[in-house]
Amino acid sequence: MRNYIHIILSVFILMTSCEEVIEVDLPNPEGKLVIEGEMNSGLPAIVNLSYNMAYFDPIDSAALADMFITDSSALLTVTDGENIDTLQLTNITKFPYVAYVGTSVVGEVGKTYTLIVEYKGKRYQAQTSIPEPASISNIWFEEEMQNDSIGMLSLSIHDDGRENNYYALSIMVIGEQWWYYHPIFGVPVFDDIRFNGDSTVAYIPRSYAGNDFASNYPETDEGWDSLYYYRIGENVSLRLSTIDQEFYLWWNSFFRSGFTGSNPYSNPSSILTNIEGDPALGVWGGYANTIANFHISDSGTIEELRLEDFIPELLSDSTQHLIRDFQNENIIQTDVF
Amino acid sequence: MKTIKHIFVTFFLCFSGLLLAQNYHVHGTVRDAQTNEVLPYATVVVKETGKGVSTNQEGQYEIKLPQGVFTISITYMGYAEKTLNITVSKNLTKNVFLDAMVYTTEEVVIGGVRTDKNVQQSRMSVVKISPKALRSIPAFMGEVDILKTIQLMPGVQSGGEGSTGFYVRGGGPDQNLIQLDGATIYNASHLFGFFSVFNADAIDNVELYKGGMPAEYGGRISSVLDIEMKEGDMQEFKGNGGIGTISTRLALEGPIIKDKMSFVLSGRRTYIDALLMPFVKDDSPFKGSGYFFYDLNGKVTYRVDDKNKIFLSAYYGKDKFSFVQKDDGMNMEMPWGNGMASLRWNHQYGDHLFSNLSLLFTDYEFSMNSEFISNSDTGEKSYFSQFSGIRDYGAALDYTWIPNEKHVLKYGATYTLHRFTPNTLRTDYEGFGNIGEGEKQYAHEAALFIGDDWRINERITLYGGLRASNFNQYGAFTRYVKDENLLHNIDTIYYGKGETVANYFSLEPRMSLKISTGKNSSLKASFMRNKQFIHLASLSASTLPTDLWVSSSDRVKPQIGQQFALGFFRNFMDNMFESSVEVYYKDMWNMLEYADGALPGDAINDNVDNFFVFGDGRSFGAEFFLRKNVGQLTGWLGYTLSKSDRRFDKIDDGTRFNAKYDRTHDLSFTATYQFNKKWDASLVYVYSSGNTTTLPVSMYVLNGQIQSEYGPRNWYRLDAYHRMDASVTYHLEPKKHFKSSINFSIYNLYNRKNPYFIYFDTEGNTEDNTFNIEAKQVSLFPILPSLTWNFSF
Repeated sequence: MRNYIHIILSVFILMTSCEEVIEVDLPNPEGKLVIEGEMNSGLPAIVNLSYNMAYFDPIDSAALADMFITDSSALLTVTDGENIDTLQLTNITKFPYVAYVGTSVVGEVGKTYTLIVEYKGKRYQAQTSIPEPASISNIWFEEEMQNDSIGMLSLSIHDDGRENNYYALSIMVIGEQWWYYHPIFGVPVFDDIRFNGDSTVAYIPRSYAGNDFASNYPETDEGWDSLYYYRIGENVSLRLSTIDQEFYLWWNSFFRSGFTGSNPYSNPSSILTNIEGDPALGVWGGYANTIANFHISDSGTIEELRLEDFIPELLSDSTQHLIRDFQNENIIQTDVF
Repeated sequence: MKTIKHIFVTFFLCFSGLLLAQNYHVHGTVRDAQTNEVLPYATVVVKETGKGVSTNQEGQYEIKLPQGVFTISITYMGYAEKTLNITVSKNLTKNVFLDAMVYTTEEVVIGGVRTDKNVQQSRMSVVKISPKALRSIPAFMGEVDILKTIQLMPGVQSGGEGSTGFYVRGGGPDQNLIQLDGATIYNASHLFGFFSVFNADAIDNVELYKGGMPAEYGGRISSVLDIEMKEGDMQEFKGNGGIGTISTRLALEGPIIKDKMSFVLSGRRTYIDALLMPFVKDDSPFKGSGYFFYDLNGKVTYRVDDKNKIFLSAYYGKDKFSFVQKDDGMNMEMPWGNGMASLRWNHQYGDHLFSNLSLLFTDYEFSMNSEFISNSDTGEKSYFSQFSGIRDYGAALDYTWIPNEKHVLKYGATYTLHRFTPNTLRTDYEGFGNIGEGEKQYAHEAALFIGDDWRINERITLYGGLRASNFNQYGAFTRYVKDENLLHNIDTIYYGKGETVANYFSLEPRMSLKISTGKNSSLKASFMRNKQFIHLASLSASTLPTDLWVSSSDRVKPQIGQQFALGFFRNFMDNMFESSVEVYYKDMWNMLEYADGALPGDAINDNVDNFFVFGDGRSFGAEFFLRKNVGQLTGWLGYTLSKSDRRFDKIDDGTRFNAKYDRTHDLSFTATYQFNKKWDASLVYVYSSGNTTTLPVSMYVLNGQIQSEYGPRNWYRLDAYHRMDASVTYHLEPKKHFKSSINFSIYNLYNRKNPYFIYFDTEGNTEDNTFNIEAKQVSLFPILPSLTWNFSF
């Protein structure tokens, strides 16, 4: 709410202000490797490598493609303490459509995973773990008052009573997105401090992020509604993940950075990194997942969607196995439906 | 036997010289001849001996003189010098009335007063503005503004437009003790720093100590701004005021009982909201939104007898911002402001001892009350309100004792009871979840002080002072102990009602030394060490009315400040020009900031100070000042070269970073020119290095989006701030009891777009290769003309 007051104050100040485009002279940055990797329960490691760039460098599709490293000389390994997996360049279903993917070590609850990246004589290392997964108690759809063809999804979670549970929510609208993205509104990563051992309800706004690089908010005729609400008849896959504390702190810094970045009333803060070794940016994080696939019926009820009902329509290429494995391993086994 | 006694007495007299020579006391009060107000700190010099004293706060002076004929000169800035020839053969009372020099009579007296006070007094780093000087400084938007004027002095910096605080010698905005008739004012500005809360119509004396503060002041480590409200005229009823494009103000004063009791009452209100009202369409969804502020000052003075005086003064002011959004049924009001009251009894014991006993109250509150439609089906409304604030009750007793012409001693005690209210939320809407009252903090703050101004000889004056203060935070209080990531409470400590939570004691030495290096020059040095037990927590990079005052506690240690300063003061051309150079070095410990990314909301099961990180600061610089006091052209030029940085263990791994308001260069120039008795004009020019800020150093792609990698804290310096203001005043033909003038002023004459902040905006998308990042700079106040009609009767 305090932020809300800041926003109103800033609206007021901006009423009397003017704005102009200026030249800002920023120095050439120190070249840093950006590592973005996740270890999901039921899946091998998926890691992307890229470089940072100067702030005002032009970004077009060619520059974006150049940013990502698809060099087979990069050596990426993941170990769970016993087994070592060497990651291979593989096509995937989300931007930038290629990643270093593991082949033998698959994420398991309770284990800790170490990622080691060796590239161009430098060495980077990071650790994460996969905690106990959570369960979803219920999911429901509420039609919007003014427009009954759209509505809001909510879910309820029952916390298991252990301290320091950290949750992350993400969404895949089937047919529109080919991977899970966090909702753009609200903070879809939270802890159990307010409901330890108890139940809580969370909204799940839609995610605008598509399969492509999200350089800006998409412009649509429906305005904000289409970024927020779900439509009757849509098929949705919801992922409720639990994450460890370090990864939770990282996500906090991610959302905070987005909030403070263009806010003159706060000190901007960088996104943390848990990559050690040579200077690098990015994160290596583990998810314990619980998946619910469902259809929003014409009457606004939630109906279970079986895997075979949507996998074929989703993908036809060789990347299919990632989604299929993911679903098979994590799909919800409760009485939500 | 008788002869022996005579010889003995003669012998003794010869050898003990002055010691036994009969001395008489000459004392009196120095007053403004027209308004009868007392003139504190006027200079009284005996020409024959070259010895001088200053009048005290009540305008009283006291000199010891042997039998004989003497010439006494009395000077006061903005007033004509007065010389008296007195014959001393017994104790004498000589009350003195001085005539103000600027526009006090129907005729224009060109020129002010030549004074060498800046060279002669022992204090350094002091800025004084007398009421007369106040009236002859350039008007800002048609009004004289004390804080704006003070920010034109070297070593004092404004936070820039849109910021409420000011910064003295690299210190923080919370490190300035701002007192109005002895009571602390916690938020000294309206409209985000655009106006100060001090209505110049109600103000008498203004004094700012940038360093070397005397022992009677404490509780802040950077500066003291001591403002006295005007006393009403004891003789006749008077008024003055102004009607302008932005605000209207009116002040009335006069006797309640002639020569016994007087009053002053003044008020001021802006009316941008009222002016805009007719232009807002009835169907506008924002109709009803607006902003205004008002101030009320009042003071009653009762002269019980020659030895006793009672003062009652009060101030109340509010800013109020309202926001209406009809579509959402939202109706919000956001008032914030100060209230203050002070009751003082001034008593004189004999000829050498004066005392003041004061009872003080002050309150600052920020609140927000909103109403909104919580259920769009039924149209049911809910409310949400929030408030935070600080409230003090206090008492102070001080004595001024002048045992002889070599010493002026000041000693006394102060006590304050603080109550801090952190963000407190109330709502009847369930959607906000579990909210409730935050943990209030209570504290006692007490101090004993003594200081002596010791005129060692003609050339050397030494001030030494000591202040002992004790701060005690007490319960009821609950401490929630958090883990290092601020995620979870790992312990809870309960303190019972009245139980001590934290106690801090502090011994604070103060010292200043003046050595005359010639008739018109002197060298001065000062040292002070202070502790500060209250802190302003600002989430934002600039100061806002939402900033929270918090107490030193078991987790928050008192701020400590220590400053050394050295200065050379010299006047030229018979005091027509005064000049000074001062250098300073200041250390500050235990400063606080919110931890990176802390977003404290309600304080349920939490303490606001859990989110702070602590660090140190230092600043050093050189200040140059040249002022012309007399002539058709008056004004000053100030320049400061300085550096201020901070070091926090938890920010950038403990490397030093620039303070937000670190200004390498800071220059200000003011000039007032009197063409004739009808016209005068003034000009203000300011230039300062830009504020520092934190900008990105690179970008990268993560989570399918562009992310910014920020550089070290405050690594980037915004463009320099510079601005010129001009004003012209036309004095209308005075009537018998009525004078008026028209002031036309222009703020930001050449419409400089000074940077307020920079942000980065992205446009287009990568698919069609139109993606683009632009840096945009937001500026606040463009060229602003204003017209004010000022009058007095």
